[in-house]
This record gives sequence, C-alpha cells and structure tokens, in this order.
Amino acid sequence: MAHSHSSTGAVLFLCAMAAGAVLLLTGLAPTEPAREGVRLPQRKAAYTAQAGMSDGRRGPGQLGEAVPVQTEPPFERIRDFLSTADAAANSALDKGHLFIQLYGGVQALSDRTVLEDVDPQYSVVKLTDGTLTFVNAEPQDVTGHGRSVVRLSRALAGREIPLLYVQAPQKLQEDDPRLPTGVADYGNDYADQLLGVLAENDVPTLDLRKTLAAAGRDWSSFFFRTDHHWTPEAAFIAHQAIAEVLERDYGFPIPAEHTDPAAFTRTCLSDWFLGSQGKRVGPLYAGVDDMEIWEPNFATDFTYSIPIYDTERTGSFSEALLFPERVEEKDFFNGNPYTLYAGGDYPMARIYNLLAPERPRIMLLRDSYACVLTPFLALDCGELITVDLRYFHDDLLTYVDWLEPDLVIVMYTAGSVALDELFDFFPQDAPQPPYALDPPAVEKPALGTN
Amino acid sequence: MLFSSSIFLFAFLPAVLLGYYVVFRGMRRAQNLLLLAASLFFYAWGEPWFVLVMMASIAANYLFGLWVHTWKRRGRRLLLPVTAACVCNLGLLFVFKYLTFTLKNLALLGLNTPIPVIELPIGISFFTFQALSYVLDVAMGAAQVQRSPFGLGLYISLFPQLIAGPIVKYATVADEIQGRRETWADFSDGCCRFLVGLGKKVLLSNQLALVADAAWDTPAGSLSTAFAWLGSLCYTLQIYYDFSGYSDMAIGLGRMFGFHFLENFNWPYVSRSVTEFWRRWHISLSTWFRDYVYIPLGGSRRGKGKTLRNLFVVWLLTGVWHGANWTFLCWGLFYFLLLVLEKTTGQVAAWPRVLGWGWTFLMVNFGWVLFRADSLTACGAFLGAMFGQGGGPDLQAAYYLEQYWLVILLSVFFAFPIAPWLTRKVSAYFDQYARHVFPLWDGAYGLVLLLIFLAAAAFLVKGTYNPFIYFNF
Repeated sequence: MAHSHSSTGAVLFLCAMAAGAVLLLTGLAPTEPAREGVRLPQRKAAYTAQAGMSDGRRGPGQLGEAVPVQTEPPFERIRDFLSTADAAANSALDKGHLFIQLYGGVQALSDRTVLEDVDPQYSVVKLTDGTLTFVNAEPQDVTGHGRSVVRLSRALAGREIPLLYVQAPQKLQEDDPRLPTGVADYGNDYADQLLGVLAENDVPTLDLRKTLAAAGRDWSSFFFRTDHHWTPEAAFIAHQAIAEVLERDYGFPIPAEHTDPAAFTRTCLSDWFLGSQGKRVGPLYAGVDDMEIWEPNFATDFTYSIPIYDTERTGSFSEALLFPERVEEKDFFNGNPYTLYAGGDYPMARIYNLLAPERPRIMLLRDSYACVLTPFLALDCGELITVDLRYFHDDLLTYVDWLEPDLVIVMYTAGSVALDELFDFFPQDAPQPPYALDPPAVEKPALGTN
Repeated sequence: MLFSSSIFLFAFLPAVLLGYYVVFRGMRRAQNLLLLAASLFFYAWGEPWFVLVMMASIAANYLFGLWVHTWKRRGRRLLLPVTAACVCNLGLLFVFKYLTFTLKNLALLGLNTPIPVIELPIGISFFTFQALSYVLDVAMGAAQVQRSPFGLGLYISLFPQLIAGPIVKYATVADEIQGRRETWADFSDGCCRFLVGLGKKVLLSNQLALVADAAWDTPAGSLSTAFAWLGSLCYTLQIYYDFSGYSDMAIGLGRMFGFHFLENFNWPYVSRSVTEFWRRWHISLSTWFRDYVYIPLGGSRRGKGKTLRNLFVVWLLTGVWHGANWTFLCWGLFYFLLLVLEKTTGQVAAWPRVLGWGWTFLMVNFGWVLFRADSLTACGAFLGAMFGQGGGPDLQAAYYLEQYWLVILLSVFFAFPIAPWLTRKVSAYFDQYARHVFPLWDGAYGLVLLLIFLAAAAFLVKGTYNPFIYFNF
C-alpha cells in the first residue's frame, strides 16, 4: 500500500513552484518605491545645487573626487550579474514577506533562540521572556572612546560650554539571566569602561541604567518586544531624570508639567510595530509590539528643521515633533513606527521652541535611542540641536562655535559605545580653530514663520 | 547553479519543465536539445568560462568514442585509443585539480618552479569520470557508440547529475538518451524524491553545517572535548545529508525527465563493517572504481598479494579523487587499512551486531575528521581535542546543543531506516484496507512534502548558510 511517491505531492510541488515563479516575475517587475519608515528625506535638486552638496550625508567641505566609471568587459559584467542574481531573486520573492514569516515560524517550532544572520552582528537572539534583541558578542576595549569624550569636554570647556554624558540603557542588563546558554553580551561592559574614564576625568555623567533600574519595574517592560529600542514610556522616565539634572546642576528652569505624566495623553496602537529584530524573523517568531503615542495636554509650538534636507515642520508637539504619518497604517515590514518620535536618524536637526525661545540651547549628540527622548527634551529647551555622528561628517566644533549651545549632551545606548563613528568628534584629529569663516550654508529660519 | 537556490527552484526548473513538457512535447530531438542547452546554461551560471572546458571534454570524448568504435569494428587492439582517452581525461583533471598541489610539494623538495593559480571547475571530477565511462563502456562492449555529439553532450552535461553526481555510467542511461519514456508515476516519484533531497540539504545539512563549522573554526587550544565530539558528529551527519540530499535531488530530477539513475546511498550509517559501509556510501563512485580499475587490475582473483595491491590502488585513487590534499590521500589509505584489516582477520564480521556497528560508526567518524581537516596537523589537533587534549569551557557545546538539539535528533533519526520500517509495518497492518487508505496516505505524504518545500524555500529566500561539500570534487 505504502508508496514512496505521492501524486498529491507532485501536484502540490508543481503548484508551489509555479506560484513561486509568478511571485518572482511580479517581484522583479518595477514598482513604486516602498514606504520606508527610517528613510531619510530626499533633498530637492535645487537645494542640492545651491548648497553644493552631493549627497545627504556629507558636508560642503568633504566632497570626494569624482570616480571615473569604467565600462567592465562583457565577461565581468556577466559575472557581476550572476553574483547578484540570487540575492535579487530572493528579494523579489519576498516582497510580500511571506517567506520571512514562514522562516520565523519554522524557527519557532524548532525551538531555536539564536537565529544567525549572514552578518553575525545581526543575529537575532530570543530572550527567555520571549523578547528579541541583537547582542554585542565581542568584548572590546572602548576606553579610547571615553578619552574622546574627555577631549571633547575639554575643548568645550575652553568655550565655556559644559558637557554632560548621559548613558542610555540597553535592552540587556549586566549578566542578564534571560540570555540563552552560551550567549554573552558586552554592551554594559562597554558603558562601564566609558563611564570609568569619564569619572577619572571629572566629566559629569548620568547613568540612565540606574534610573530605570530604580523605577522598580520589570526591566523588559522598558523595551519593545521585537526591537532593541526603549519605549516612549522609558524615554519619558529618562527625561524626568535628565530634567532634574538640568535644573539642579545647570540651573535650567523646567516647568513641572514637562515631567508630569498626567500632563500627557497616551494613545496605544495595539499590535502596530514590528521592530528591527522582528523584521528579520517575522511576527510568527515572537509576536509584535504596541506603539504608544504621548501628546502633551499643554500648549506647545515648535519648528523642527532638518536643514541638510531642506525639511521643516511647524506646529504643536504632535504636529512638529511627532510624525503621525509613520503610524498611519499598520505595515510591519515597510513601516517603522519607532520613528513616530522625531522622525528617525538625521545628520543634524534643529528644534525651535517657539513658545519659550529664552530657554537654553542644548546640543544633543545622539544615536537612535534619542528618537523617543528628543520630543520630550525639546520641551525643556529654547532650541534643541541633534547631531548624529554616524551621518554627520562636517566639523562638529565649527558648528558648536557657530551655534553656541548652553550645554552639550552626549547620549548613547550602551551597545553603541563601541561604535567608532559616534566618537569621531575630531575628524581631522587636530585642535579646531575658533569659527571665523562665514557660517555654513544653512541658516536658522526666522522664528514663527515657515 | 545550486539546486537549493531560488533561481533554480522558481525560474530555471519551471522554465525547463514548461519547455520540455509543453512547448516540445513529443519532440524527442528538441527535448534533448533543450536539456543540453539548459544543462550548459546551468553549468555556466556558476562560472561562465568553465563551460568551455566541459564542451572541450565533450568534443574530445565524442571523437575518442568514434575512434574506439572504428578500431573495434576493424578488430584492432584498443590499447592506443583507450590510453589516449585516459591520458586526455585524467590529464585535464590533473591540470585543474592536482597541478598546483604537485608543484607545491615539489617545491618543498627543492624543485622550485612557478606555481600557477588555477581555479577548479565545479564538478570536474564527476563529469570527467562520466566522460571516461563512456569511452570505456564502448571499448568493453557494454554500450554502443553515441553517433550524435548532442546525445553525448547531454549524457555528460545533464544538469541533474552534472555537478555532484551520482556518477552515471554511460551504459546505465545510453538507451534513455533517445528511447526514454516519461510517465506520471516516474514524474511524481521524481518530484517527491527531489523534495526529500531538498529537505535533507536545506533543513538538516545546512543547519548541521553551522555546528560543524563552528567546531572546526575554534582554535584547537580552545576546543573542548565535548564540542569536538559534537562537531565531528554533526559533520558526519552533515556530509551524509549534504551528499545524499544532492543525490536524491539528482535522481528525482532525472526521473522527472524520464532518466533512471542508479542509487548512490543505501543507509550507510547502519553498516556493521567498513566493507558494508562502502557498499552503501557513494555507490556510484565505488562501482566506477570497481568496474574500471579494480576488476581490470584482476580484482581479488589473482592471489592475496595482487588483491592487496589492487585494493591499495583503488583506495589511493579514491582518496586522491576527492581532492588535492594529503588529508584526502591519507583518508583513502585509512580505509585501505581498515578494509585490509577486516578482510584478513575476518574480525569485525564476527563481532556482535552492536559492536560491529559501533566500531564502524566510530571509524567512519574519525575518517570524516581527517576528511574535513585542512591539513594533517589540523586533523591531529582536532582528534587530540576529542581525546581531551584541547581546552576551553564546554559552554560552546551546551550552546550548540541547546540551539540545534532538534535538528541533531531528527538527523540521527532519519539517518537510520526507521521511517521506511514504520511505513512497512503500518502498510502491512492496513493492507486489507489499501483501497481506502492509499488516497489518505497519498494526500498526507504530499502535504508533508509541500511543508518541507515551503520551509526549505523560506530558508533559501532568507539567505541562510548554504554550502555544498561535494561541489569541490
């Protein structure tokens, strides 16, 4: 009775293969670009020409020489095509993200808690509480980054500008018992090394890991389930701690309502967000996240300007600092609701508090953890300037001299402390002369106008 | 092109099936030309330049075949054309596979000559042995000469078995090049066999490879005993699912187009002696060496001394065939020693079953350590770690066991013929209800195969680790 073959199996195989072929053909067909949550805004051609810039990440002084494009011999072109064809086919097949979901489902069934990626730093780890994260798997000496911060602090001190280093937390705590057997994370070790160097050199610091730990809540509740970032609620708690330091140590008056959660309306979008790790394994592997929208009940008026992209938003907190279009529709794979707050990672952005321009001007050197913090912090400032050194390649001190902030805050998550580019404060590695030339092409917009 | 790739599964194979069964239905010449063109395209996908090497091999062996046939018809001795064919084919193999190795070793002896950098055409050992099989089969009268260069080209380059075998002897498929008959039973059997092979390769072998590679990538001083054993076990399973999975896919694809290739694996890890293991592992290679080397040398019928010599030659060649490295050569000689031990003492065959199985599995496992190592030194270090000479904590072993326990368990389960045994038992039980049960079985098995296909496709589209061990041979 038993046969080694199955007519049903053959028919199903042919159907599945045909369906795959159709998916491949339709996937390879040119389509409208997908809506990307973290996509950087496109600059207008006219602005590019005026500013004399070639791309969105480099400043006027760092344009490279044009690279002549040489035509490859036909054989090489065939090779190039073949070497990329499989990846292109995979990408076309998974446009609907069906396969990634299936992949996550199979991995969940097979009880895997570490899903290796072709690039090991993007391997996804499932913790015992079912949440996902990346890990910083290699121990590293990052004291050099600490010395960079000290050097920046001294350079700023010469300009009578104080520096505060804020250590943002990360999803994993020190010796986190939620990690699978044999998996280690060194993110907190990086942070401890850096804070140690800063303490030796009397650079003021604020360790938000302690702040959150002292809140007496389950640590994992401060972070998204499928993403390594913290939630808006955790960022708000962090904002409370930062506001306290600003008021106590720097004498910046902070209205009480800015740090009172009761002064905010919170709206929860249920099952709305699939984070960075979740996108790599699909929602079947570890579920999805809610996204909470925090909006102040008091009057606000801001201008959020991203000069390098010629983008400006003016309006209330909810209109200028939140990007509601990022949560307009539920789109797990193409959308990034995390960028509801502050829009994402920009090389440099300036937020003007139109109702309180007399408040201090703060420059925040940041990574992606700052997204959810930025709108809250902007409430306390007359102007908040955010700089992301991963994308900002102009001379930082030139901008400091031009903008003359009252305080510079450096805030990185623990894992980011190992990233060289975030500590590249002195790209030319030489003392910077005081700013003496014309200011950069971007100008501060007149307050109160668009 | 890999069978386990999106391009093959969702573009190449559907297009060839469509052309074969719809566009050229009933047109044998056109179907053969389509298969030949598709096979050349399939080969060129990996490295376009090397398709010229294969075409040159086809052309040369076509002429050798005609030469042998003509001389045979005239009653002349075939020593010259057969020698010429052997020299040409093995010379081609030598240049691409062994020249660099030879020159490097001569340099160690003080003979310094420039060492060229030569890339190895994928599957050259397989198609060279197939080409040689054609000339030898014609010479030995096992098959008729192939008059059509396209027919011979199709035999040598047929994409299902082109890159990693099985090594199909010409006599096996000579009649099917023109006279095959495609049936739905064959086609559906081929589909199922292909899916089983795909599942073995993508869902088991590729996962086991992650564990094995991690063990081999660990410096010997940091490799714990537990992880060394786990790594060697995973490699033992990986190579089985990698190669037998490829053979299943090849046999299945062949059957989809009406070709019937012989089996290449027969549950090798149930073997109770090394002699039995080699009757069950890579059967097409063993058969090739038996028919074209061992028996022509006299086999075992010319006394103990010559039998030993013949065995030595065969196992030396088997080792060398797998690659230009001392590890492969030693691996071949390792089996020569084991087989001589078994044949001369008769010991293993007389042992209790479990003991015989344990001994064989252990020896095969050690053999794979030698096979997998990059050098004899690395092999020694790995074996040393297996016997407590390594170091490092056992955390890695615990990690990989925790992550891959299910894959390892399933791999062990499916390495033994438990599933076919269960199927036989169940079918015997339900035999009287066959009429009712068969459609259920057909549907359930079909669904399982579909799930395997979808899961494998998901892994491939995600772009997970996907090496093929036997491509290099």
